[in-house]
Amino acid sequence: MALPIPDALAETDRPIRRAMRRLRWFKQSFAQQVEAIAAASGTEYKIHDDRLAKAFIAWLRAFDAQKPTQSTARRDFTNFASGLMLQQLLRDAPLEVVSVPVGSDASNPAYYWPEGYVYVAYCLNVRGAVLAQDFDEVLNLAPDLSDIRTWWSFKENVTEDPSLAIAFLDLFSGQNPNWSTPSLFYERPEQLEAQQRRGIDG
Amino acid sequence: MPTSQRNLSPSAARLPLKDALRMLRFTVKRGRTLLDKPLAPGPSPISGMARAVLNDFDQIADRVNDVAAGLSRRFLDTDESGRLYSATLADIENIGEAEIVFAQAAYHGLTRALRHLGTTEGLVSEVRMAEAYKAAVQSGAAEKDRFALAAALMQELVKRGVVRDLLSGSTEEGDCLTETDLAKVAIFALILWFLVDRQDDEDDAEGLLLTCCDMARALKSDLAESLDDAERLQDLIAAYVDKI
Repeated sequence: MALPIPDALAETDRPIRRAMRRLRWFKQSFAQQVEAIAAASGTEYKIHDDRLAKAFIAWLRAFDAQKPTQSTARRDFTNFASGLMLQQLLRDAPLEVVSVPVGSDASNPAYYWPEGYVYVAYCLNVRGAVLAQDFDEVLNLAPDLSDIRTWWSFKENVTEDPSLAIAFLDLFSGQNPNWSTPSLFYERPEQLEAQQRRGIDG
Repeated sequence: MPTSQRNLSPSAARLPLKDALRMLRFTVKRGRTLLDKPLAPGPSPISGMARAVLNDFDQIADRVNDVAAGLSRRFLDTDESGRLYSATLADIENIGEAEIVFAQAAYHGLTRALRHLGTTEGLVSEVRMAEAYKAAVQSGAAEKDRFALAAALMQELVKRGVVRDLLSGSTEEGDCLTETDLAKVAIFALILWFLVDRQDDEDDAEGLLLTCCDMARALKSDLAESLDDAERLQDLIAAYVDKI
């Protein structure tokens, strides 16, 4: 499943890791994501800037609260931070669907949950762009991303507990999710393994 | 004539005149808004008489508004507020008559911020903004750093009531601010906008101001908690200005 990529995330000459911590870039890139998906799907959206800014501030605080000091944790934190962003977008719901095309196929995630689809696409694109820029990695999207049954479970679960969005985003990008304590960075499988290794080495 | 008045520069002398003309137009506009409300039902002769009186008032209001609008065009459009629209606090500090320049630039920014945040009517005073700037600079805050000056300025602008007689309407964003919150959030947005780095961005000044409004609105609770404490306010500004 290919996700439409906003222009701001296709840029390579600007450090996205830094740019994403500024509201004007966040607003601009998010609007471009919405525009790209609207063009591809025919769904019409409205962005609520006040809710988007609220989500941004909450994300920034959550990001700063758990930012690791070890440089070895930076890659995994990129994954975690994009999950935090998805969690916050789902909580503050800055998107509103104005209309969907008549006769659209509800077994397609883009029509089954149009807002959720944009949030997921945006966060995966941010994750992919930072991984490519900072770690020279290509983000591999998992087949779960196009499986409507996963989306049923995704929507139902995050409606009850938005922090599960972090685990689902890992699932969508082929990572090993932490389903029990998804909002704790140092409880992620990769971090627990690293802690274990340090314990053995030490 | 007192010395202070005799020495006023043409720009400084224009500020009270601009405020007065704006107040005149505002009063006429608000009066007409009241007249537009349906008349209370009453016995028909009284109701007819009331309508005639109100019609006369409406004609007078029209004439006053025309005169004030003409004077406004003559006096208000002669300043360089368009050019100042992209000035930062650092730019303003380094030019002569900084408080006048600040008041002109701030008037443009604040009226736009208020509109974006849902104000339908209100008065912004350039005289009070110039006074606020002068007081903030004289407080010595400017000697510490730009965030200390920004915090002192924010407090002075709020204290001096540079925005008054606000009426808020519903915005497209839905989350309506009260009149009291609206003025504070708009002033906070203005302060952020005066500080934010514009060099490496293709943002236009207007777009940047709207982003500052979004940021200020999202920080409404933090602002309420820190407004009376200069140090906390300074920390709040410093923490978020680079995140715009």
